[in-house]
Amino acid sequence: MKIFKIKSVLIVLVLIVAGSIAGCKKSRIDLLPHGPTEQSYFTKEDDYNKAILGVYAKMTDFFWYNGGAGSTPMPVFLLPGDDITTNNTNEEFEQFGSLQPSSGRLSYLYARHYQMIARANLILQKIGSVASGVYITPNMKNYHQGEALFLRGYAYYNLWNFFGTAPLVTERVTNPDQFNPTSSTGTQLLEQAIKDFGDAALLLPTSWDAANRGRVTANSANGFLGKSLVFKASATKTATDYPAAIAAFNKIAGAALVADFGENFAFDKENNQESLFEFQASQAFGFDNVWLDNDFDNAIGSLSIFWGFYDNNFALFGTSRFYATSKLAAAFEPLDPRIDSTLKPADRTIKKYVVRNKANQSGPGSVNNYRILRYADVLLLKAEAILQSGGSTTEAINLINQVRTRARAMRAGGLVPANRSTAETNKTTIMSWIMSERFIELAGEGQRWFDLRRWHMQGIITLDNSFFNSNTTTVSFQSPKHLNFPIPNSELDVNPNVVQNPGY
Amino acid sequence: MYQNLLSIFLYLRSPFFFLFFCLVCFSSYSQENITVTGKVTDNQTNLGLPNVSITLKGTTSGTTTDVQGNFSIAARPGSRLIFSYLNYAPQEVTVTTNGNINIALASQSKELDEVVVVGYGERKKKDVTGAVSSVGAKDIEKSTAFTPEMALQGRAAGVFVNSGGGDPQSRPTIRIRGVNTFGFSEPLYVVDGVPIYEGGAGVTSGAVGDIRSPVNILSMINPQDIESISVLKDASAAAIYGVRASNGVVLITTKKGKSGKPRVEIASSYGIQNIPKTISVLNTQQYFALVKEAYANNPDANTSFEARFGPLYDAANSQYVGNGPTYDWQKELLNKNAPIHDHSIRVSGGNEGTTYYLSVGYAKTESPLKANYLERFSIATNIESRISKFISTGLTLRLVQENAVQNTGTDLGTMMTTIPFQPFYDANDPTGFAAVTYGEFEPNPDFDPTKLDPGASFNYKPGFPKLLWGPQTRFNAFAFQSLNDNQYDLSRILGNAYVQIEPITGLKLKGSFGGDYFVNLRKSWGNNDAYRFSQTPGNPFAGQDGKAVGSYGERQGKTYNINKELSLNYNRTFLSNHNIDVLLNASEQFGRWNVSDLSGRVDYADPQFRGIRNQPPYTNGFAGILQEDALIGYLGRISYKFRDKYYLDGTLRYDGSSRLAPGNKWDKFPSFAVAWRISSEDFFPKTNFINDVKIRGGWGTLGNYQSAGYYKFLSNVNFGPDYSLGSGNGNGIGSQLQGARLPDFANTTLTWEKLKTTSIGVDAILFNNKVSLTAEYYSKTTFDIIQSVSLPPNTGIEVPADLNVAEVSNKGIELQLGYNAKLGPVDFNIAGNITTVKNRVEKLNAGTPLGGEAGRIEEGYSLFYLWGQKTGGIFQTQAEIDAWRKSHTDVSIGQSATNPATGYRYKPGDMYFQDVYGNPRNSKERFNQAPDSLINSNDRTYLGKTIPGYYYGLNIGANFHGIDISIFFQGVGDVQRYNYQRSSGEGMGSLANQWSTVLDRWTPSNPSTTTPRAVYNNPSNPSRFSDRYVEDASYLRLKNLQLGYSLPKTILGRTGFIQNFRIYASGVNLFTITPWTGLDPEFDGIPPTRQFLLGVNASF
Repeated sequence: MKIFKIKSVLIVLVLIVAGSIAGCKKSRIDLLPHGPTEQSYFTKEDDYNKAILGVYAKMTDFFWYNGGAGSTPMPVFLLPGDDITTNNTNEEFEQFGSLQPSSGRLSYLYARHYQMIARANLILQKIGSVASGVYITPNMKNYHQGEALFLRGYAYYNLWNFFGTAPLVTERVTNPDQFNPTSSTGTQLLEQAIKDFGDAALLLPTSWDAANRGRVTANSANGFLGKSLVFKASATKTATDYPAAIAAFNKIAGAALVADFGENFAFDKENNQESLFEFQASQAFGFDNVWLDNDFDNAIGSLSIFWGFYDNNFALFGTSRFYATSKLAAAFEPLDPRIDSTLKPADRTIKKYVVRNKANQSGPGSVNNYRILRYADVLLLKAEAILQSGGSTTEAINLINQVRTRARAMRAGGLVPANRSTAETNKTTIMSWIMSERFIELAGEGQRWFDLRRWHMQGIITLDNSFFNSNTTTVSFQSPKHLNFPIPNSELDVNPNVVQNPGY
Repeated sequence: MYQNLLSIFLYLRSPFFFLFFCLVCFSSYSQENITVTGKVTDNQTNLGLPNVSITLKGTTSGTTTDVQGNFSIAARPGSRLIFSYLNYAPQEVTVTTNGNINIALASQSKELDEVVVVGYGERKKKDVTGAVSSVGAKDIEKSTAFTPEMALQGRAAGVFVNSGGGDPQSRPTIRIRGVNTFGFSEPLYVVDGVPIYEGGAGVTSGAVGDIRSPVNILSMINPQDIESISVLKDASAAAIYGVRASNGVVLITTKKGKSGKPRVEIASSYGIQNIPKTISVLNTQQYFALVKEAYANNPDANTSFEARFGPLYDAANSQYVGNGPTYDWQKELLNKNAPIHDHSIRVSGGNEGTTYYLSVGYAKTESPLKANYLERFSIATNIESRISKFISTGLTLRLVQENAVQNTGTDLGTMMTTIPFQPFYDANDPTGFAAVTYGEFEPNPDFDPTKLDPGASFNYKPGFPKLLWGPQTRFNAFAFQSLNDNQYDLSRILGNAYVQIEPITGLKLKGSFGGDYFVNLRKSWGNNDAYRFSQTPGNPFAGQDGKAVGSYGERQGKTYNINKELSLNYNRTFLSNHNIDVLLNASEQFGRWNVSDLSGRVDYADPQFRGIRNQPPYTNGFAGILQEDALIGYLGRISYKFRDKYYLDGTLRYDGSSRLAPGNKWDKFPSFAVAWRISSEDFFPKTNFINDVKIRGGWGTLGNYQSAGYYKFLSNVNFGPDYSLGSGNGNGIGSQLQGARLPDFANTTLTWEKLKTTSIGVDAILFNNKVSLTAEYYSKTTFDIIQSVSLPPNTGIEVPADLNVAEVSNKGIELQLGYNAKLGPVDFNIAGNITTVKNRVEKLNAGTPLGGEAGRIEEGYSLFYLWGQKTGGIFQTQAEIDAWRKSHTDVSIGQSATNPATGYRYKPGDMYFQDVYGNPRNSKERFNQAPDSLINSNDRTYLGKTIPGYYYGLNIGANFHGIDISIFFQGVGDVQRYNYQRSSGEGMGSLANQWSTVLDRWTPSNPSTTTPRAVYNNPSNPSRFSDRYVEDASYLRLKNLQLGYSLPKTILGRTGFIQNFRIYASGVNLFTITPWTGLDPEFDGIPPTRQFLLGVNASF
């Protein structure tokens, strides 16, 4: 009897085991992830909106602390040129000579720009085939498309200015055949930026509501379109791009210089009237972990920017802070009110972005936006375009004077900087006015190298070791080698079709 | 062919078939048992043999002889008893009615009848056709490691084991016969039939590497419970696990009970361990001399040393520390004489129907560095029962609880470069530790304590935090160890149950169901006060209301793994000489890894209150990880044997994996093996010096799906990026919004990574059964390697893509030699093995090399080779420099070929590098073989290989009147490593402390030819990745020396109940011979320890 019972139990047991295996269907290995994939995504307007924010978010990588003063890409933007210097010995972005294809900062910046481009390319591909009914808000599809184009254009604008001949990728990479594109040539990258900014200008709104403040607008696109055209005219020494640049600048509506120059670098005056494009620095609501990149995870990855080189943050760990060059300090007329927002003449420490700053919770990071394009910059570029294309010198000088007037008016009864004389007709003199105005107005904003590089290409200036006015003694600038930074080894080592820039 | 097999098999799988079996095969048996007694002796010495196993044929019941060789067993007359004893030929005797059996066993070669676990069964060693290495319980017990894999180190030919260092939680690295792939290279572990699955396995970096616990999950198997570890090395051996076996299979078989009287065994050991070596570094005075000299040597030193680095570095300032004491950070970190405990009790026994094995164990090992230990409680059971004549069933189950504390938070390498004047302790600080930073806070104007999320309550005042020990301030690890707490709590249930039906002799149908469930809980406590001891102090009040004293988090990873199998096995001998063994098997495995995380602030300091439940409701969490794997495999295996002379094995698998792209999920993997016992041929001369020779060879293919990541054929959406909008009008922060990205390259053609193996071997027993020899040649090629690498940056693909592109080969020879002899009263044995590996990357996608300098992957080279520039020498005079500059330009430091005034100008004492290659002449070329006088990144070349060319082990043992000694050496050779610790310890380019070796640096009065001069931020860049820091990492270790004493049987016999009693003393890693200048050639992080242990083993 007992034996029988055990047997019954056993039969059941064996049946269970056998049944479970017999039930093993081949389809059981067809597992899918427990999260959205491309196939299930892009079905709502908000999906696209999130993806666009993902493109913007990539800019964090350009400006954040990156877990170390030795890793953050900020010196690449700030240091090259004659406005900012440092006591760092062997500082490659100031001395040029030691610039190497193995530079970690360059490699990082290069890769992150292409990640931004890839994110934009993906959206452009998806938006091109979006089903009807996905977008409900009127015009939002155009806006998103415009934003993707703008941000891709901005990435190519930077890549051309830093590397010159990096590859041009305008399609989403979905096939191994696309892994190894060839180097671009000449101003190909800049031309792509011009095309993207031009297309974006036609799609973007003139403004956004308060909650969306910080997104790009038609003004942003027209500003960058004009700027890129001026750059191209400089680089190729042809005047034909200037009229198009002027036309683009003229389309900018509603922008104006703010009364207080210092507001352009104040955390509480972000996205103001003068601002055409800013990186929206912020802090993660949990804890802005400046050691983790933006993509890491919500509420943990960094959303902030690193201004530590300017304010001598503890997180420099022995790396020297940045200083204004004595050349820059001397360029200001002593009573120019802009100097108070720019530097401290006594020790040449930098005040821009720092005096009206707000550190985020974690110390090294800051929430103070990086101003990428200001209306003052546009006015001076427009002056340059008018001048270089043989337009009215009076009109050009008046544009310079707009910038000077704003500065002068900051002080009640101020006399400095005085207006430039509109009677001047010597093109070289007026150009030197433009150049010195850009030097003073835009000092320390990461614009200087781009200007110097293009003017040197144009033959207006000649860069040499003495030009840079560095605190260090071993500047070793070689032309044309250093006009393009080296293509990083991380690309060269794996892409046989890319050619290193000459000289490296 | 396999289609037919499969269809038969599919029929066999049906439940009706089972039912049929079950109904047909039940019958009962009956006949009166009598008690059989007798004595078993050695046929030459006539001495009684203890522990001879006696089993009733066709059952699992049996007994063993006592110390004198006597036995007693209940059996029916006419039934047959099998007498078997290690190293003796087994005998079979029929029970007669008189109930008395005395037999004499004859000794035979020890090797041939050893049983080797080969997967889905066992084979005698003489019948093995594939490449299998095996380590038995005796050797496993000698390894004092916490974790079973270490028992393989040096003992199994073809198996390379790197210990992973002295951290008890670390994971050893196991590579079988070279490295097959750039992807997943870990072997498959199968514990009692359950293939182990670990979420995130093989990943050591990134978020997954971080989230996957650092604690080795194999440490959750008590080595004392292990009967044997078999390693299946080639395709024909491993084919039965083919779906995931390409990196080899490690089969762990645990102990089972034997029928007979209950047997109680205890094993207990206690020991201490220490790190044998620290690196001599500069004292405070030497440090100051160095950094001053280095700064003065920099051509850009435009600010004075004192002004640049502050008052601590200024001899004229009262805060100057250059005359202060030196603190030895390395010594302070050591946990001297860290204790090691291991205790276990095992009870086993059984009757004719049922056998059992129970074990309870406790082990604890402290790390040789402070604030780290691992502790294990384990229970294991193994029960087998024959329910009726035809049905048997069994269950193994183990429960493990592990507690780990991991608060070290640093290693000796970090301590080496910590500035020597920074103190550890400060009696005036409430914590007792010397603070590192000083911060002052001010209330945040946005702070609103009435809100649930009040924002940051305090921000640092401008200018804070400040580093207290200058720009090179280091965090105070000792304060962290004391204030913070990071514990791991791991629980595991691992078990397997089976039912086997044997309706007719030789036909077995077995269904098994196994599972592994383990939970890994990390409990981390961060004291708000800890920020003062960090050189990168976060704001402890961020996101808090100012009342909190710290933060507490729990991260839980759950892994479950279910394995179902059904197999049909038929084994029969026909016409007395033809043996056929057929196996059909279907298996399905499903694994899931689920991670969740919660953390938040805690308002109480009492450790008793640390828990998620006591946190205010604004706890942070993250989505975690949910990964799943499913595998289905069908297997058919036929083995044929004729007269123990000719062997043939053929296996065919058909496997599917969830990780591969639709359309490519399934693949076939065949393998074959043959063997010929040439010594059994009539023509083979019968001599005393060649006793047995078998030649064997195998060929086959295996798959590896684990190199593929999860869902790499899909493009996933990730919600990591965030961006903030809406700032302005006084608000600088705006609203944080969630973004999305699609970071993958979706490879829709991703398929199996496959391995083809060929091996040819000889097994021989020589010189009167005294010498055993196995020599084997192997050749493996992995193709369609799943290459998970970052795509060229221009693609913007953020996550490494998985592509099937490359081919890698591994070739080599394995040699095992053993010698056993009785020299008078001394039993003497010596066993050695050596394995050679020649690893070569055969093919890469478009020939494009991958990887960086520390691990280059390039056609024609060994995987992960070291790639960099070569040092030329050190300039001694200006004349030397001028001569060199005439023909060379180091472009990478900004020198100009045309203008010697441009770029860095060498000074005597600078190191220069060789011009090895030239720049490419066209875009097709990577570099020009002819040097071009320019030194740049095109001069990077082969500097060394990281896969050892050979590794070996040697064990010498002797036994004399109860005293046993074993000496075990182990080593690797032909391998180089980059000495990262030395590169930061001899770079002299920063304010970090340096190794004492830099005292020999170049100065005008000490024209060194090995160490360049000291230069702060050295513009000549002598610390670039070069052969300067590449070192020979080969070593020879005295891994284990053990001396034991067993009480003689005569004394034990008198006690009446103690069967075996042995005490031993053991030393581990007593010495290492190596040219490596760092802490340890095997692992520098937390180096392997030197251990001294005392232990006792007894059985009753």
